[in-house]
Formats: sequence, structure tokens, C-alpha cells
Amino acid sequence: MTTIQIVTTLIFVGAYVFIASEKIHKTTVALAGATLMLLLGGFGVDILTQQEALHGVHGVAGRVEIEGVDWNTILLLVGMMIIVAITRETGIFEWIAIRSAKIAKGRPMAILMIMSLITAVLSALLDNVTTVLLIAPVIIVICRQLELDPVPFLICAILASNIGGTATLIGDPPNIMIASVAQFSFLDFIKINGPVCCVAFLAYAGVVKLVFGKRLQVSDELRQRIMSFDESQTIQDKPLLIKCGAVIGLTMTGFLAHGSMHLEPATIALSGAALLLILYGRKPTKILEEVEWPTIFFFIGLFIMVSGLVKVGVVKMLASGALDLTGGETPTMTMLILWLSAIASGIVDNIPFVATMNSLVVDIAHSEVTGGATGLAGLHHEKIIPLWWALSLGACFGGNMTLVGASANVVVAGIASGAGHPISFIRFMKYGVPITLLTVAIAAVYVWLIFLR
Amino acid sequence: MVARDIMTREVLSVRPDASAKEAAELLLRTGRGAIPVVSEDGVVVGVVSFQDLIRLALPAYLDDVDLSFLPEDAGFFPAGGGSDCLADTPVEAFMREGYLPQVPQTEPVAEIARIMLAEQARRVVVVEDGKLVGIVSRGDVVRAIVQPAVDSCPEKDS
Repeated sequence: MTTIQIVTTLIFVGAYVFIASEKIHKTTVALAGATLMLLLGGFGVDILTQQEALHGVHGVAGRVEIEGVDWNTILLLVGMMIIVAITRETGIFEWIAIRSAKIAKGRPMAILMIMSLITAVLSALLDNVTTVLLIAPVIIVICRQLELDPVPFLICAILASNIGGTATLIGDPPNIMIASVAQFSFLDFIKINGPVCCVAFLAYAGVVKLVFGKRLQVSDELRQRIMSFDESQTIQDKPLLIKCGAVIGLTMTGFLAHGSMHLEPATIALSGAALLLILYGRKPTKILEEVEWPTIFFFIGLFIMVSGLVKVGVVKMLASGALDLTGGETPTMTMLILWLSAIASGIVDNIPFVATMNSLVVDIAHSEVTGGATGLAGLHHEKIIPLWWALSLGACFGGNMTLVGASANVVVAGIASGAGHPISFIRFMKYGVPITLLTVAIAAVYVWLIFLR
Repeated sequence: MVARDIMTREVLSVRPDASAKEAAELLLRTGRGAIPVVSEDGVVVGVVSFQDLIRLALPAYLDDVDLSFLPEDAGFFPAGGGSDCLADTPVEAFMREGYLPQVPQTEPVAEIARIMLAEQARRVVVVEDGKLVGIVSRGDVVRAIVQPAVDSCPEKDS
């Protein structure tokens, strides 16, 4: 390794350690690491220029040498956050949650199942963090009324959210990042990840039924409390609700069509956000304040750091190491990526992991494995396609392994402790590890069946 | 004119180990919006207000949830569940620490006014060697503003 490679690796690994230790906020760490890589250029250590970091480097024949900050991912996140921030004001999410508890007739097991399904579906259409942020407090209110411990319900919300989010391009940040680099469409995700998520969800529901089946019983009197909720009161601005519904419908249609229309997903999301802001009519200031800027800047910092790793050739070294290890055999590489992503996501933040793996797979896609194919021919080569899906399924399902495996987990843990029902790390793993192993095993069989057989 | 000239010297305060019930009764009886929390050795450690008492009954995790679906007989959702013991919660568990701006006795009134506007503070505590000696409310500042000594407008002909 050259000195410059060692310096870059040290900055990246150092940032990773700080992020994992949670001593300093991860956004602060990512921005510090990113700017350090850029600043060193002024002292004769040329890792990456700002031009390369912000705009990437595009070589001949559409080959992306350095991705740079992936604005497609950034703006897709911002667009969806704006749409959700406005939709939240309508009270529709409370309505859905209360309505489903009433459809379950206040029976805890039925509530658990319907809430899991709602959480999974919402997580597929919105991002996981937003979904659990909306659902978890209502779950606590319902459990309080039923005099039940909310912790198992909250753990189930996390698990269902991560499984549901895996199903679509917009459901989970790793998918957004993978889609952007690998150039997969919204439909690709529904076609490939959709079925396996349905199977994974059914398996999850089976396990939940098995574990909690007989334990969750409450008296008719307590159930009556749930039935006396009046969800119609939460919808206060019907015209706004109709506007939000229409824009979300249009946006989803746009996502389904973006591939054939040659539009990037971020264009669709931002258009939806702009349209809804026009219909909303009020000043966007308050809505823009609700965009999770720390998350956005975390992504920006990471993209810059990973671009640094790519530029100095560390990713190329990792890629050739991976090729040596697996002999360049696609089945071996696929399974390695699937399980490695799952385990890594459980232990460390999966966003930096996926950002690095993305670059690594791009490198393999343009290596001797595909006969040096460039551009889309390399990215979508039959030997490379399974790697992308293994990365997506591993990183998303793997988020269920520990309480820090995904952002949604951390958010629910925060809400739970704020409500005086802390979820312990070990208690979460008792449910999280078996569900992760089960769903990743399902993913392994699935990927083998459709790609490797 | 400085803090010393306009402050109220007899300050009502509660101890950190007083109960929520005691704090609430003091607030209700005196009609004040907030009371400083003062430790045994006279140091201001925080403030307790109606808002803090309401927050005790409804923690921040519910801030963004529309609760209008609740039935008539629903109560509050304090952290941890059981609402019977809320009244016994010690003040130090829910007071806001370091929330009250602190000024020395010699602080000019203009600076006190600026702090009140900039930090949206309803009152500032006046300290000497870290110990509470008085409190300046918005009312005290307003009184100083309309006093002839400060606002020396010429008498108008009527």
C-alpha cells in the first residue's frame, strides 16, 4: 500500500470506529472525515479534489470512475421527506393505526399482526424511520390502554419495518443507494425483492404467532377501551388529505414508470414534493425544517469518504482481494456478499457499508469477471446482477439483527426509553437474531433459485 | 439602573427533593408561572413551571401524535405507565436544568431586557457568588421602562 492509501484508509476506518462508538454524532464524524480528505489536498496529500467529490469522475463509454456525492440518493430522500412531512399534518397515520387496532377488535394478537402488516406496507412506500416514528407512539398508547407491555409490540414494529422496507427502491436507504449505482428501476425492486419480502414477512408472522400465540390475552373490558377510540377525530384537514393522497398516488405511478420514461427516481420524488408544496400553499419553511438534515449530511459525508477510497485505489484492492478469495465465481461471491452484508449491517451502520460495497461491486463489474465490460453492460452482466440483489437483501434484512442494525431500530429504542419502556440490547436480539437468520436464509434460497440455479 | 435596583428580593423557591404535588400547589397558590429550584446551599439548579408539570404527564414521544381519537375517560401517558405516583415525583426528575438565565446584581437593565427578548426568558435570576439573591420578572423590567427616571420624555401640553 502507498502512503496515500494508508492515510485514506485510516481516515475512513477511524470515522467508522467513531460512528460505531457513538461518542460523537455520526453526521459530525462523516463530515469531519470527508472534509479532512479534501483539506489534505492543500498539504500535498492529494486524496480527492472537491470537484471529484461533488461531481464524480466519468470516464469513457459511460463508465463511472468515481461516483462522488450521489445526488440522486440525496434528493430522493429529501423529496420523500417533504411529501411525508406534509402528509403527517393530515393525521392519516394515526387514523390508519387506530383503525387497524379496531379492525383487530382490540385482540392483542390480531393487533400485533395487523400493525406488523401496516408497518411493513408503510415502510415499503415511505422510509422505515418515518414509519416507525409515526407508528411506535400509537402502539404505546394502545398497549397502555390494554395494560400490556409495549416492548414486544415495539420490537415487532422494528422487525416488520425492516422486512417491508426491503421490498421497494424507496423503502430502505441501502436500496436507494444500490438502485442509483446499479441503475435498477422501482419495478426491478418490486419484481425481485417484492416476492422474497412477502415470503419473509409470512415467516416472520409465523414466528410471532408461535412465540406470542397464547401469551397475549386481555379482558373484554380492556378491549372495549380500544373500541371506544374515535379515529375520525384525527382527520382535521380533509382537503389537504385529498391533495396528499393524489400526490402520493401520482408519485407512486411516477416511480412505476420512471424506468421506461428514463427519469431518475429523485426527479419523481422531487416533482411530487414540489407539486404537493404548491397544493399545500403555505410557506415551505416549517416543512423543510422537518427534513432530516442530519441524515442527509451523513450521506453526503459518507459519499465523499467512499469516493476517496475509490480514488486512491483501496476499493480496487478490496475487489481484487474478493475475487482472489472467491475465485471470481458468482455463486460464491453472491453468498459471501449476502451473509457478510447481513452480519455487517447488524454490527455497524449499514449505510457506509453499502456505500463501500457499491463501489466494490462496480469494480468487479468492470473486471475480468465480465471480460472488462463497461457501463451498463458491466453493471447488468448476468454474473454481476445476483451480487446487487444479495447486497440489498443482506443489508436490509441484516438490519434486524441488533438494536443498532438500522436507523428505524435506533429511533424506536429512543421512543421506547422516552416512554419509560426501554428495550434492552439483549432482549431485542432474542427476537432479532432468529428473525434475521430466518429471513436471510430465505433470501439465500431465493437468490439461488432465480439467479444461480 | 441595574438588576439590584429592580429585582424582587424575597424569592419563592422549591428544593430539588420536593414533590411534584408540592411544586404544583406552590405554583397554583401564588399564581406564578415558574419557580426556581434552589439547592440546600442556595444555588439555583433549575426551574419548574406549569409546562414541566404538563410534560411530566405527557412525555415528548407523543409530541407529534394527534391524540384526538382518545375516549372521554382516557387520562395521561406518563413515562413508565402508572399515573398514581406522578404527584410524588421529585422536582429534580422533571425540572429544567440551567434554563433560567443568571445575571449578577450589577447587570444593566438594558442587558436584562435583551436577554429576555433574545432567549424568550420570562424571568432571570440574580446571583451573588453563585447563590440566589433575587429575581427579575418581565413585569419588573416593564415597570422600569415606564418610570420617569428612565423614560424622561418632556411633559406634553394637553
